[in-house]
Amino acid sequence: MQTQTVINTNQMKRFQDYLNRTTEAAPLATFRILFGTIMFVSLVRFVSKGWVKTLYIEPKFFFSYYGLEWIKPLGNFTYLIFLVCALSCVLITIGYRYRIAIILFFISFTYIELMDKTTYLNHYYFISAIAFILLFLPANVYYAMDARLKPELAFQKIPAWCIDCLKLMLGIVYFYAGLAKINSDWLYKAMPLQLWLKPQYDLPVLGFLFQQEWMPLVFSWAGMLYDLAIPFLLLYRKTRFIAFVLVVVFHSLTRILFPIGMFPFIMIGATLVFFKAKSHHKALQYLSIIFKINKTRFDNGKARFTTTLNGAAIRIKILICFFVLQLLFPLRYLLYPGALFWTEEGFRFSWRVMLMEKAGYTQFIVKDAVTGNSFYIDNSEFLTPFQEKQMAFQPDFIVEFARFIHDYYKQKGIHDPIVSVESFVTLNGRPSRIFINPTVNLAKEKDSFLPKHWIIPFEDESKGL
Amino acid sequence: MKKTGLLLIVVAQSLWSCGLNNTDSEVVADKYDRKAMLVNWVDNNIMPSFQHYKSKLENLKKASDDFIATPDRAQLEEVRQKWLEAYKTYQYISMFSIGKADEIQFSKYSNTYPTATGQIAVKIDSGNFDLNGISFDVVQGFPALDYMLFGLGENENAILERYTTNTNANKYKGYLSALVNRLTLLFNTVYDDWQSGYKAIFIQRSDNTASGSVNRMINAYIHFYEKDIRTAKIGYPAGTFSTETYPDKVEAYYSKKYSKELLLESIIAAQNFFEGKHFNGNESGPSMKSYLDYLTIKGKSEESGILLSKLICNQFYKSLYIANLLLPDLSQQIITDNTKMTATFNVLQRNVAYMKSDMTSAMSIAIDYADTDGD
Repeated sequence: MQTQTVINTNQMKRFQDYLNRTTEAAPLATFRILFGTIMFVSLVRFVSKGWVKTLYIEPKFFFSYYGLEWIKPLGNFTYLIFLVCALSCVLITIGYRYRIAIILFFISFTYIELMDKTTYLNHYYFISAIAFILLFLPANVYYAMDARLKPELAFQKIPAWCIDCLKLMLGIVYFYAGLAKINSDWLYKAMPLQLWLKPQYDLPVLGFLFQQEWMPLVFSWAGMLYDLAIPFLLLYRKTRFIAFVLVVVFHSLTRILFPIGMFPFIMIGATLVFFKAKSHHKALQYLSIIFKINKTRFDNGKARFTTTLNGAAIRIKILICFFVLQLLFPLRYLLYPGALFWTEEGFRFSWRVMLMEKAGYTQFIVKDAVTGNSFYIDNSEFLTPFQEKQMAFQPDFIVEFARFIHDYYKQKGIHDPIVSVESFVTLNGRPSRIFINPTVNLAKEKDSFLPKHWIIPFEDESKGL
Repeated sequence: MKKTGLLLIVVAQSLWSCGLNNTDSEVVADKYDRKAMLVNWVDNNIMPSFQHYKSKLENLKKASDDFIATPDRAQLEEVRQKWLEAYKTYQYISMFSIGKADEIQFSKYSNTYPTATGQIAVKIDSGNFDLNGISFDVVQGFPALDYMLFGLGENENAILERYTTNTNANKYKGYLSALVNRLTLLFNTVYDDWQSGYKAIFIQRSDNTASGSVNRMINAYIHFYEKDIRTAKIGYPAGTFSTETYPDKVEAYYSKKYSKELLLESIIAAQNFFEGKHFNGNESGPSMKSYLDYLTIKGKSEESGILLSKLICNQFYKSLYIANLLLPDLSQQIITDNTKMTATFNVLQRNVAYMKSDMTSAMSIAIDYADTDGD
């Protein structure tokens, strides 16, 4: 009993010491600048491609996340959300009114991300997660407008945990992405890479190699090992530079091979946070020359300690909870019966990136409970081709649409509409097979976190983590 | 430690197995080449069918001019015949709704049915034959011609009366002429665009992105199969998408004998394109079929392991067989025995699933035109 307490207090003390350890603020400042800039470019790119209109304004129906049904696009006002988000990026970049800016960014970006789950992307989730962490970090105390305007709030050094949080988040993303790749489809069958790489025959050199049976296997294994190892290679000084080269090569390659948007730039930019403060100072010096900024004013030698940070205790508690959740949430799939890739119960928000090639086909049937008359639904009457495609292989989409169909036809005078679906899904090149139990009235089913008994179990094997 | 050991075994195993695969990896003679497929499509299917359609439209134009000059029974028969021939050829080209055809909504204005007879009457009466306008798709194209050539009266005499002794005879002739001209103009816009550069662009865009030609064409093709054949020709009139049947919503409703023929032509057109068959002749070239074969994608069936391409082809044959059992007038078929129509719907349906999920997945074809990001 006595020793137990001693150990505990010892550990507490070590934790306190860690919290009080300080480090240069420069890496956080460059991270803030890069984050703001890249996100600004991403948002401008998104709007200029007309995607706000095609993805959020034109569709008649939107797929919501369970429990977040109230988050919907706001018609033409959706542009306003993008405007707010882009403006907050500018403020974040220059570090002006940082606290308000990052709050605005987090809310507006997360809102955009949650408006329609058709567009779910892991990297949007990653941005939201990073923005959440940034809410609690003093990213405006160095090389920022805030620090310039209020010299009493300018600090050259900040608590070390502030930078470590970002490293930990990146580490989780890579490591969990790597764990997810340890499955028989990925490692033994080289699926889905085989399907994705073969059509790229017209790339110089690689195109020829992709036609070889072993090449997709090499890529699969390399991808898995890369994801698992990269956080550690970035952490150790001796391997850091080579790790960063690997980061650049890996993400450039994905950029060439897949329509992956801004993600590679975001990841390459983010991993710079692993580098020592010296390189960040250098980078900021270059920036200072270009923009005629007096960098020395920020190098005031002052250190901000955790104890002097407003609401430090609550910040740390929230971040600890956040990371515990980050570590556990991707593992929730273990609580579900059935094959994860097939049912997708616990698939999203788990860093399962580019892991499978899935496509399907769904034909809804509505039956009048009284007259027994039945008819088929033309999905395109309500959904865009993109939504229809995404719905076809994701059960939570299917049930949400079924309930919508139920309500729609109830209003049209069909008695207690029975909604069932004929569906086929193909996974990683397997022949398509029946996906949803066609005898189930989906109008009576609800989306929830409980297992969906109306998914026909996966017949084939796919083993792994 | 245990994990590392396991990992090593896995590595060793897979190295061994891929080494094994490597030794017997034969040199694939007809390796998949998107450009070759595009060239085959253009040279042996798209352009020849376009040229064929062009000549059929010219014939129709001539026949309708002759009929307008001398509106008698023989000329009526002639223009009806030419209309049918053009309509049948149309089934082979309407799937190419990419580029200009997509831009001007070629198929919407050429073949939207049922045609709006009431609106046509108003148009004829007004003497204003302007057919440009988004809502005018229901008063033009083949379905409107179907009505003008077969539906204006109970019998041929009654129809001929409209073009001869009727007080509005000139307006009827004028509208007929406007319809044929519009149909021709629509097609020529598309054809000229292909001739004057689009052909080269189409072949050149052989990349595997959502906006690449293969992607666009396969999306257009699947849309044609799903919406234009399965849904429009069978599904809607047979009441598959509603609580009641609509015998008057069949294609070529007024001529009362060609709807099945047009259906069969469209299924053959879809199959030929899938197999990369030359429009003139029986040879075939690089196609969706040969691509699937190259990827050796297997399909699901009772005897599993049959190539997906084979399953799709078989399904086309089955569709043709079942569709062939229908009455020549699908409208009549719906009234007498609609189950044959639903049977046709179902047999067509299977290939929608094969093509929309298995085929596109195997070929990494995005089922949408939006170049959105993935992750």
